[in-house]
Amino acid sequence: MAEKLEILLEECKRGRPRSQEALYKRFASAMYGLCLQYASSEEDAQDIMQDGFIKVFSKLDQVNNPAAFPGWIRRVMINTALEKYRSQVFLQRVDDIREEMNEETVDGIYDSLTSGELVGLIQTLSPKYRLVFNLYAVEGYSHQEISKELGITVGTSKSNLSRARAILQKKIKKSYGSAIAR
Amino acid sequence: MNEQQDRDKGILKDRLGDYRVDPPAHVWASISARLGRGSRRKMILISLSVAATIALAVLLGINFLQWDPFGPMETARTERGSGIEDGGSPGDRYTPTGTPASPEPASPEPASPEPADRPGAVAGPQEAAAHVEASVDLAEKAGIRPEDVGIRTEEAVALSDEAGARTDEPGAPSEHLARAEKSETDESIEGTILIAQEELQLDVPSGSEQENRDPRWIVGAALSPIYSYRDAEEQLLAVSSDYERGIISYAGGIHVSYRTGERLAIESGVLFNKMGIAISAPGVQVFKQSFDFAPLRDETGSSNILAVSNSMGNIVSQSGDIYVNSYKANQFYELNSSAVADEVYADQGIRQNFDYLELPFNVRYSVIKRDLEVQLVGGMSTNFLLNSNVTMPTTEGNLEIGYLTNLKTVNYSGNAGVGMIYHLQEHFSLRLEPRFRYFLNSINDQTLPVTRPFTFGIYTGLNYRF
Repeated sequence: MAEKLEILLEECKRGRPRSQEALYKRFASAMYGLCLQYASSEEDAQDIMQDGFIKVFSKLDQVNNPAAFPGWIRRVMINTALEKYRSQVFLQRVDDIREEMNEETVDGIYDSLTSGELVGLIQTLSPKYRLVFNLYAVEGYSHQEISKELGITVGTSKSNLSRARAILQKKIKKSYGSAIAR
Repeated sequence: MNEQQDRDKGILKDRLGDYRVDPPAHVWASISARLGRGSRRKMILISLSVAATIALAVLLGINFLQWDPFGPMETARTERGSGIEDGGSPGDRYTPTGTPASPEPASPEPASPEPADRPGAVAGPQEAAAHVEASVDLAEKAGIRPEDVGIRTEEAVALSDEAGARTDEPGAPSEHLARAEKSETDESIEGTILIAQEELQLDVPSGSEQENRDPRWIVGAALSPIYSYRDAEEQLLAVSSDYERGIISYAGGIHVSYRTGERLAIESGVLFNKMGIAISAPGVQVFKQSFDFAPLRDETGSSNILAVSNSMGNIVSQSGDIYVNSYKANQFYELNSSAVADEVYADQGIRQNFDYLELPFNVRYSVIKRDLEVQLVGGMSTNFLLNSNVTMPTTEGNLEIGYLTNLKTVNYSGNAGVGMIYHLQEHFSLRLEPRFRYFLNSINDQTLPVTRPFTFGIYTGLNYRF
């Protein structure tokens, strides 16, 4: 498998269209799932996906170790999403201000939701919350790393994560209230 | 609480870390098309570059070959000097190649009793006739009537005709030559030639001679007040136009141009442009302290990085005490009830400044060539971003409160203008040139809406030609 990927990458570096398509097909579903987590809508996710793969094919020479490719392509997609929404990290939705007030956290609230349902809820968050939430809760970034990525302070990163959780819990309770055992 | 967060983190990572969804088929179609377009675009760019280089090389090559720094008049002067005035032998004169002519055919008598020291001597009848005709032509060009200097056209024509009739008589030239030497008009002819040539050299050169003698290079400096503002997407303008307005600043630099033809010139140079926009109150509110509207502070005790998106980029405020109402600033909470707008700064607004180094490449075409020359100017510029900052007017001058992010460092602009050049004397001229410049690409990177700045300036300066 690793050998095949190595050959595929070499062919892609030479600009062979068939190999590019094969590489795309191999990673498309995982990368589209990732894009959906960071995007506000399916259309945005498709835009990120397109821009991300263009970068992948144009910067493929940077990949020397095929084993590192899955992590690298994921990183490229995340960076593309961050570029798209970075400027909006500073914007504030009036709805968010109302929703983030005094929410109590509920244990195990994510257990009863499917991945698709979770992603659908994450998409409803404003970019500044969604990016911090994904980077911290899914990618495992520290607040220090997030602050550097987004150009915000560590305190802001923490507060955004806290607010993101609160908003998500409220939305989950509102949408799936009966299914959640308190 | 932390345990719960860690548990949630684990669940989310499991659920979403390998979340897969098949993308729609058109996504690959778009990627594939863009990949193909990219390579095609690259090929087009390479082809255009090669074509432009070849065109430039051909243009410069043609000009180089055509450019004779001495010009035809200088050549004429050399001929004259090597012959008549230098008192050279008659056989040295009026030979097409400039080498001594073949000696006359053997004759029992010398062609002339004083062959070398007579300035008025000519080589033979044909040459003499051609000489007469040329002198008449030159005199006419100079506006001198032949009669005024003792040449009668009939005589010249008769002499020419006679010379033509004798072309086939190898032994006869001496007779005609003697006649030519004795002609009273001869010295007048030479005098006319000298006068006419002097006249032509000094005052009335012909078109091609004038072109070759004119200076081709122009260097100069120009300075202009400029009005700068921006064009943007309609939806962005709807939001921001109420508060944003253009500013007056300045631009200036040096330029050099090369005349490639009678009316065409190419120009380049280096210009500094100070551009920007102003955001007026009530678009802007300034608070006394940054924590007035940032109640959640980081470890340092204050939120020290605040940014505001507007039509020209993201303003990152260094002091953190600025709030732009119409663009939703990055404050994460509503203002503290105790937040107090600074009475001094609240109504001042802010100004975004962009400093660019402009490298223009323009083509100049002279539509009127007189003492006041009028030129149409058009071309492109590459603009390098040198600096950006955000300032606020205070009683103590402009206070720098931040800078801008998400700006492209290299931009391209199109230029169009009308140049009015007043020629003071041979080498110096004054320039007055209204010029419009419009950015061809967005000043922002792709994370922000498309915004294209433009400037209008009236450049004035001094040119030196050589």
